[in-house]
Amino acid sequence: MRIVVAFFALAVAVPAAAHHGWGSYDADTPMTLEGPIETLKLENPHGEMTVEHDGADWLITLAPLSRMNTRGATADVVRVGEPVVAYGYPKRDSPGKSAPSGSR
Amino acid sequence: MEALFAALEASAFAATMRSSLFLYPLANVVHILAALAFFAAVAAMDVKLLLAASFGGARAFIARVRPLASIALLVQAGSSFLLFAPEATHIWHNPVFRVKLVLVAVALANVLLLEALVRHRGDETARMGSARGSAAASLGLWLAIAAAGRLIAYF
Repeated sequence: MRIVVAFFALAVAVPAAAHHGWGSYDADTPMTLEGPIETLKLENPHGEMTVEHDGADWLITLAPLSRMNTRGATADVVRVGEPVVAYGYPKRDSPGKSAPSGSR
Repeated sequence: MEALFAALEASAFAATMRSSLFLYPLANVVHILAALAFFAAVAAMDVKLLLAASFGGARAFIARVRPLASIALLVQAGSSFLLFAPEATHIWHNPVFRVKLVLVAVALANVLLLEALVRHRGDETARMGSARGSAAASLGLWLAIAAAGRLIAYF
């Protein structure tokens, strides 16, 4: 089983376009998500992929293409269906709000 | 407006920027270097005006440095387009980006004002004060624009 461990920023999947910005991610509560890659976009400035976690689809923001490549996370390695271990920061949400439903 | 940016984002050119390994980082580097070159030229002219006793001393210097500022500004505009297109609708909604656009408009208006003050031949004493004010504003505005540009990623 190929494991890809990387530092990603995580965001709960939301239908509306969220603002970019590292301040909107909570670095004090890092998360680890495990599962097969459901959807994937490798692109600049940030790619994204979705992984299912606790019954919801999580949108994971990826690094730019050149950084992905230099870290070994090439298009050969990061593919739809590949099992992945993703470590990163969740997007700040209002307290008590659960992960929204809706897959991408 | 929204539709225009959506169309830009959907263009083949924008897709190329998104999928290219080196074009996107290159556009970023060019954007920063052009900003440095532009600010160096503008700051040189502004400082010259702030320190000059009269317009006469500053005019010749400004005439020689101005072309560098103009070229750097064109390169800046070009590289900004390369960075904007791949996520046009996303950036358009960024509040800091809008602040930056407003600042650029004000800064360019200030350039026109300053050019008019410098080029006008006639009684200088009254206009020297205005020109110095405009030069000082120029320094502050372009620095604020650089800060806003960097802050886009954090909002």
